[in-house]
Amino acid sequence: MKLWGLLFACLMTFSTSATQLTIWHQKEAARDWLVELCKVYEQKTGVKINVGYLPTGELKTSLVRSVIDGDAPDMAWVPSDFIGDYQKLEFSVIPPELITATSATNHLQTVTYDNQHYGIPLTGGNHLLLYYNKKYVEKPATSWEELVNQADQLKAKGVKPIGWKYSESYWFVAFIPPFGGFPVENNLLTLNTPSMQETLTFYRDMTTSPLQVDASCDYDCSFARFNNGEFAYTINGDWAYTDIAKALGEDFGVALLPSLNGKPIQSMYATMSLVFPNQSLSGEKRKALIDFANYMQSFEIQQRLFSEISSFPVHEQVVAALENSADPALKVFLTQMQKSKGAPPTPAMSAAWIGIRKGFDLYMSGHASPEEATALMQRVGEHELKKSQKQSAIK
Amino acid sequence: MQLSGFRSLRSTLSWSILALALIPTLLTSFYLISRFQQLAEESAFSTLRQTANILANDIERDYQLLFTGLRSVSKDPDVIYASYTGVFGPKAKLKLADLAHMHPSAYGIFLVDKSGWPVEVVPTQFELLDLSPISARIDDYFANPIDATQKIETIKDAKFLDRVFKLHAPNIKQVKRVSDHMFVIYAPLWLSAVDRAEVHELVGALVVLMPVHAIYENANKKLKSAGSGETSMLDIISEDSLLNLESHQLVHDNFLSVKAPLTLAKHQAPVQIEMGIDRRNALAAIANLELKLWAIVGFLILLFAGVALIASRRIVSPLHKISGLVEQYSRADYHTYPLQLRFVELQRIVLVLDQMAERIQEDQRELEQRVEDRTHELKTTNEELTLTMERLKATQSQLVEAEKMSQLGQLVAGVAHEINTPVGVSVTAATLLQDEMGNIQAQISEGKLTRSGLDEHIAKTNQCAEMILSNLNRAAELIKNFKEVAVDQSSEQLREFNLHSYIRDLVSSLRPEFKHHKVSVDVRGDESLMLFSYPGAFSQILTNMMVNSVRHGFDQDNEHHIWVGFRVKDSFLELTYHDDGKGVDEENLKRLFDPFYTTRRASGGTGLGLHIVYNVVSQKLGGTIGASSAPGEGITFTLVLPLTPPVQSVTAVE
Repeated sequence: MKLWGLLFACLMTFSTSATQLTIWHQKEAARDWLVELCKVYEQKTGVKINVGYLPTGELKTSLVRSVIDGDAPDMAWVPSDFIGDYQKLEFSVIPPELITATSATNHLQTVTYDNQHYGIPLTGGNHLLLYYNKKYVEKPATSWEELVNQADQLKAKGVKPIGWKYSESYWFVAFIPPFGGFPVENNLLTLNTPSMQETLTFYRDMTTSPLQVDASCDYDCSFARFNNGEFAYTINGDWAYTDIAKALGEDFGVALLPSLNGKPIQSMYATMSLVFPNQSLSGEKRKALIDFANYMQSFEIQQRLFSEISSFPVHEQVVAALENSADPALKVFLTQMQKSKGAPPTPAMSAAWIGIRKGFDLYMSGHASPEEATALMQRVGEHELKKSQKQSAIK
Repeated sequence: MQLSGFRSLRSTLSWSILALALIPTLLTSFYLISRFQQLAEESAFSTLRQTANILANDIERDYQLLFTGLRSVSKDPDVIYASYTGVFGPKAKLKLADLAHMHPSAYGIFLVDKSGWPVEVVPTQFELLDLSPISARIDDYFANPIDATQKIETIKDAKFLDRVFKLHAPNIKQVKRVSDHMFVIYAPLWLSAVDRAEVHELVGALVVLMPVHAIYENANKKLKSAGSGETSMLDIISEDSLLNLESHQLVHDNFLSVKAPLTLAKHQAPVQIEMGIDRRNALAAIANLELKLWAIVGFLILLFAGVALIASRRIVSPLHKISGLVEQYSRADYHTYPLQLRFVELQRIVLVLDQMAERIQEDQRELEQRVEDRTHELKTTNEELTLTMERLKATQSQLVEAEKMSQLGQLVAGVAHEINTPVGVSVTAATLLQDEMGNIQAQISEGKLTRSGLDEHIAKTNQCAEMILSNLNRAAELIKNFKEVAVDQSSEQLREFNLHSYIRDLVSSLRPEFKHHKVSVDVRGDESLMLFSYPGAFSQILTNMMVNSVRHGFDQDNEHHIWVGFRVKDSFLELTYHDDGKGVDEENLKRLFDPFYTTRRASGGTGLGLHIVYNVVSQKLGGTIGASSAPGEGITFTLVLPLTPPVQSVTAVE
C-alpha cells in the first residue's frame, strides 16, 4: 500500500508538467542512480521521468495489475524474460530501429518472440556466478565433485561449504542442463522429463550430501551470510558482483559455475530491457519514450551503467572496451555470461517458471516422487500456457 | 441325623447383628451417594452446558474468522490475480498458507481459476489431490457468476476424504475418521480494475476443504488445551448426524451429553453440536467420595462383623458346651465334670441333663445286669442244646448202625430159616440113616438080615445119603450166597460184577422176607452187563426198597409184584424199581428220603432206610434218585448212576 501511495504521490506531484513519463524497475543498485539520472534527463529535455522501484518479484505482478487497472507505467526496465507475458502486459512491439545499442544476437534473442522485438536491451547478464571466499578457498572447485571433496576440509575450518537461494527456481534450473534437459524447447514445455526428474533428485540429495546444503537458505545465504563469512562458496547473480566484491575485499573470488556430470552448470542469462506496457509506445508519449530509450542506449549512459551501478552494458563499443580492459574477475564474469543460456522470452518459459515452482515445492516437501513432481510441473505449465494463449489483456 | 440342611445359630446371630447394624448404615450411604451423584450430575451438566456454549461460540468465532479471512483473502489482489495468471502464485500461496495456518480445520485451500483449475494449493501436498469428485460443484459455482458469493456445502464422499486424509497426514496409515462428511466453503474471486469500471469479472474462487472430522478433532483439542479434557464433542448434527455414530455409540452411551446450537453463516441447515462428558470422569469426585464411603462401610462391616462374631460366640458358646455335653452323653460318656455357664437358664438345662445322665447310668447298670443274667441263661441253654445235639447225632449214628445191623440180621434170619430146612431134612435123614443103621445092626446081630432087607437097607441108606447130601449142598449153597451178600453189604470193595445175576442173587437172599407174602420179582436188563462198582451199595439199595415194599406196601392177602429193570443210557446206568403196593400219598412222597421219616414208627420203623438209600445213591455212587407214586398205584424209584462211581475217600455211609 505504501508503494501505491508513493506512486500516486509522484503522479500527483508532477501532474502539471507538460510531458511526464513513468518508469518502473526492480534494480536495487539503480534505485537512486536512476532517479538522479532522470533528474538530469529532465533538466536536459524537460521531460519528467517518474521512477518507481519495486523489489524483485513485485515488478511483474505490479505491471500486470497496472495493466489491468489501466494505470500501467509508460516504461519498465525489466528482465527480458518478462516478454513471455507480453500479452498480459501488453508490451509494445519495438521497431528494430529503436534498438541502437546492440545488434548482438544473444542480446536480441532475449527480447524477440515470434520475430517481434518487445524490449530494448539496456544491460546484459543477470546470470549466476560462483563466488568464493579466498579466506577458505585457495583454488575454486571447477566441478561439483571437487566441491563435494572440499566439503570436509571446509567444514574443518568452521565454515559451511556452500549456500544459495536454494528454493528459487532461477537457481534450480541452472542444474538442469548437466542432466541433459532444459525447461522449454521451441515454445514447448519440456518439464516432465527424466532429466528434470534426475535434477530434482540430485538437487534434493545435496542437502544430505557432504555439502549439507541448507534447503531453508534464502537470498541471505547468497549474499549477506556469504559476505559475513558463513559460507565458503555461494552462487549468486551478476547483479551482486560489486557488492560481494566490496564486502569481501581481498578475499573476494569469483569463478565459473562448476561442471556437473562433466557438463557445466548452466545459468540463464537475460538482458535488462526497456519495455513499454499497455502499448504505451503507440500512445501520445511515443516520441518522449523513444527519446528516453535512445538516451539510455547512449554510449555515455551505457558506460555509466557499468561504472556506477556495475550493470554490464549492451552497447557494443562499451562492451568491447570493457572486455579489452577486463581484470581476471571480470573475465570470469564475461566468460560465464557467454556460457549461460539466454532465458527464452516466450510464453512457454513464463509458464514453465510457474510449473517449475510448483513441482519443485511439491517434490521438496517430500510428498511426491520426482515423477509426480515433474508431471505436475508439466501439467501446470501447460495449463498456464494455454491460459495465456487464451488471454489477451483484459480490455 | 444329617445336619447339613440346618442353619447355624451362631451364623444366624452374627448375620442378624451385622444386618441390624449395617442396613441403616447402607441405606444412609446409598441415599447420600445417590444424592451426591444427582448433585454431581447436575453440576456436570451445568458445566457441560457452559462448556458446550463456549465451544459453540468458539467454533462459530473460528468459522466467522475463517469466513472473514476468506473474504479478506478473496479480495487480496495477489490472490485474485493469481487466478488470472500464475505470476501471482507465490504471493497468493503465502496468503493462503497464512489463512490455513490460522484455521487448522481447513485441511486444504484451493485457489481455482474459473475453469476449476487449482492454480494455488495449500498445503503443497494437496497439489496431488484430484478435485474431480467436486469439480461438478465447482463448475456449478462458476455457472452463475452473479450468485457467486461465499457459501458452504456439505458433501459426503468417503473415498475423496480418504485421499484428503492421506495427503493431510501421509505418515498415518489409517486415520480413524469419525465422519465421512466435509464442508466445502467457496469464496469468489472478483477481478476489478481500479480505473476501469467495466472490468468486473469472476476469475476464480477459493475452495476450502474442511472435513467434519477436523472440526471434531480441533474442538476436542481445544477442550483439552482449555483443561476440559474430560469433555468431548460427541456429535455434529445438521439435519442428520455428520459423524459415524455407529463407531461412537458405545462411547456415547457412557456420556452425559448436551446439545448446543451452532450458528454458521452461509450454512442453510441448522447445525448443532453435541457435547459429552464421560460419566465416569464427570462423577470422578463422587466416585472418589463413594470409594471413601465404601471404605468406611467396609471398615464398619468388618467392625460389626467382629462384634457380631464375638457377641454371637459369647451367646452361643454355652449352647455349644451344652451341645458338647449332650453329644458326650449321646456317646454314652457320662463322666460328668462341673459345667459353669453364665446364663442361669442354660445352667438349669445342664443340671437337668446331669440328672438325666445319672438316671440313664442307673438304668444302664440295671440293664447290663439283666443282659448278663440272660446271657448266662442262654449260655446254659445253649450248652444243653449242644449236648443234646451231640447226643442226637450219636443216637442217629447208632440208629443208622442199628438199621444196618437190623438189615443184616434180617438177612441172617432169612438165611438161617433157609438153611434150617435142608439142615433139618439132613438131620431127619441122618436120624433115619441112624435108625436104619441100628436096624441093620440089629438084624445083623440077630441074623435076621436078609438080602431083600439088605437091599432095602442099602436103598434107604442111599436115599438118606442122597437126601443129606442134597440138603447139605443146598445149605452150603445158601451159606455161600449169604456170605457173598453179607460180605458185600458190610464191605466197601469195588469190584466187577454182573448186575443182573447180582440182583437175582439178592432177590434169592431176600426170599425169607417175602415168605408171608405172595411176591414175585421180575428182573429185566442186559444179563451180560458187567459193572465195576460197589455191589454192596446196590444190595443196600434194593434190599431197602424190597423190604419197604413188603413191609409197607404189600398186604399178605394179595399177590404182589416187583419189577427191577435197568439199562445203560449215555454212559449212565438207569435203574428202575417199581412195585404194585399201596403207594405213597403226595405229602409223604415229599419227605420220603428224610431221615427218621416213617409211617410205622409204632411198628418199629426207624425212618432211616430210604435216607440211607438216598445217601448211598448220591454219595457212594454219585447218582440221583427220584420217587414217584400215588396212593394205590405202587411206587417207582428211578436211579440214574454213573457207570463208574466216584472214588470214595470216606467209606462209611451214615
